[in-house]
Amino acid sequence: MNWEALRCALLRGTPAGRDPAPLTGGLEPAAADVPGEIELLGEALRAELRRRPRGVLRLAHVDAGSCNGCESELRALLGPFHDVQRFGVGFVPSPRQADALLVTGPVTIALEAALRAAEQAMPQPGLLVAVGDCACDGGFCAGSPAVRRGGGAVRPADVLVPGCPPSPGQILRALLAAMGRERVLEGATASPPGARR
Amino acid sequence: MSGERGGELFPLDRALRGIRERFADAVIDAERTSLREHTVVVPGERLAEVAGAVANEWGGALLTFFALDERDSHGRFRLHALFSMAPEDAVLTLVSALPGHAPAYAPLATRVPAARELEREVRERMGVSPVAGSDPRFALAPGRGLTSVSGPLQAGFAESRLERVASDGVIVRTLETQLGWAARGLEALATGASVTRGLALAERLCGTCAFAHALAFCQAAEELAGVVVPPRARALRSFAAELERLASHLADLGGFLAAAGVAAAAAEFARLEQVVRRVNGQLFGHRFLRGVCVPGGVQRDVGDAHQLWLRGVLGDLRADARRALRALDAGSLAGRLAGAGVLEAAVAREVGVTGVAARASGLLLDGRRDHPYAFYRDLDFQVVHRERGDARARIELRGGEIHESLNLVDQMILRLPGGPLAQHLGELPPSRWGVGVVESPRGLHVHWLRADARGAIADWRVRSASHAIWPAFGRAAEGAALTDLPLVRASFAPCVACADR
Repeated sequence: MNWEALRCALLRGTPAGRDPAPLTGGLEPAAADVPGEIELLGEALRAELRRRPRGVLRLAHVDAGSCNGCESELRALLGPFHDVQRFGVGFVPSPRQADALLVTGPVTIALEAALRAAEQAMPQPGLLVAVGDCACDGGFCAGSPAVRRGGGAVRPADVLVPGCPPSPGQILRALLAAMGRERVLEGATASPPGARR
Repeated sequence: MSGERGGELFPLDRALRGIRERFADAVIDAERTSLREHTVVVPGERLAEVAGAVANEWGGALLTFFALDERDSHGRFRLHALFSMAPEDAVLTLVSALPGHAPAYAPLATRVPAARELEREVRERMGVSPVAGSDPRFALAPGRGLTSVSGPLQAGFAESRLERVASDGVIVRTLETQLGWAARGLEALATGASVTRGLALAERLCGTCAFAHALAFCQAAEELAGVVVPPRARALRSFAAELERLASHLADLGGFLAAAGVAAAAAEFARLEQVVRRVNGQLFGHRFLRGVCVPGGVQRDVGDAHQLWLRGVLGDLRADARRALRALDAGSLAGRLAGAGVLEAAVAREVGVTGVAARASGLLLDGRRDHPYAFYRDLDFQVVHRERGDARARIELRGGEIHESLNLVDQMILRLPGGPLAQHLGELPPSRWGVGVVESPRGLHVHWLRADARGAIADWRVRSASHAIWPAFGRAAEGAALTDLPLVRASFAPCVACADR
């Protein structure tokens, strides 16, 4: 029953951002899962977004030949565990409504024109964000005659998010860098994965 | 392996005997090429005839069909058609050589409809076409109602493809999906590369079944090199494969419930998927299990402390998944799901669909049982199946398989053997080939691998489950309400990345 699922979710009291599978003693968290990372990044992002005219960041997504891994992590950002909408980041279906266009995949030749059209449909100035190794520089697909070398095929990307796929935390970090914060968290980031050109 | 079962021949023996008796004039060569594979060479103009008899009379199910370009070395093209001869772990391969200057053959799809998509790929990518009966895309007769074309870009994280729906405004008459937009040419990219590089590419064929592709690739390389994988590595491979199945099924259920508008339960499944991704990262160092499987074994071990933690996590997950699945029993949703997007068993067999979609239509196909690999021979599991073939059956089936996967992981935690994690993969011998068959979360993945004289990859061919799921979805959508289309699509959850490569 639908209500049952809702009731259990409320009763369980797993707030977004809290670890869905807490570790028992003696186990070190994996490198990809820094505890509390999403909360910190999200609050910082919210503070940055407040300074912008609308206070929100609307993202549109284009699959330019992705393997689904990056999409899976983007979908996770929207899911109940990360839930980035509470920080003012939302996904919209059309680039015409978007502040930034997220490109995944190495940009296949068949999809290049479609990506270009989507990029031009975005209100200017709009950010072009290359999500994942493929979209950054072709990644593992580089060298194939069927693909370009990432989102830069259309125009130089504003933000690069390397990773195969980048974790939700890394994507958030890159968005934060795109909003103007170069150093996100003192000490917590050895090397900021997102770099603004 | 081969032999008689209650006086009745196994499919492979039946097929070999049939080919000997009926096609004696067509057989150029026949030999056993590996422990489980028999190869029969026939001329191009007789290939369809023999393949049709194997598939329609002697119980073969098409695993894959592809062409090899040997124009530089031998001045010819080669066609391979591989058939699974279940219930025996046996593969029958039909091979034809075509002259390089005029590569024409009798069309396979007229006798073996499951070869349709694969034949189209051979035509588009290699320029090898059958003499007649080719099947152009978008060949709908004009004037059959309203047509709408959407794509290639899709909203809402959906993969790029072109979809053409013809309807009378309410009911779908035909639905066709044009793929190939996301083709990255990964198989061609691997030509001349090392096995390590090939594996990295195999893992990047698809994000949701990365491990299944890696495993099928490794199995092909191991069969080629004649390497036996140590028991602990085999068990950990099954372990990771079941975790991947869990994550994929949970994500598909979440996607389906989101398409159905059941937000609370969809969110619950999205959370559970994140639990499994988190487990993947914790145990194997990668949320999508890339870099876990290597030729000859695995790269990561699972220690006792992690096993203990995992049992607790998965115990909670089992209870939560069962509770969330009750959302399907809500009256309004149950009524909408029953009879939506029915895939008849005959149609499922015709398009050659495997995995979830086949089992929900009553076809008892499971690569883990039919071609046991990794640790599955030593594990106890049920092949979950349903008969109705509608959206509800496919969703229920995933729910059942989640519990089976949890059972399998429990069994492996109890019975994880000791020993080394990998066996050294020596040189790959040239002029032979290896086949890897793996039951991914969506169905059978088949990888075919051949090495060159330097031990590098000469040819690599992939057939993934989604090759058949797209046409199956098209057939099941006929007669569905237009408004139910997202629901029917989500119940199949076909993948573009796997099919386009």
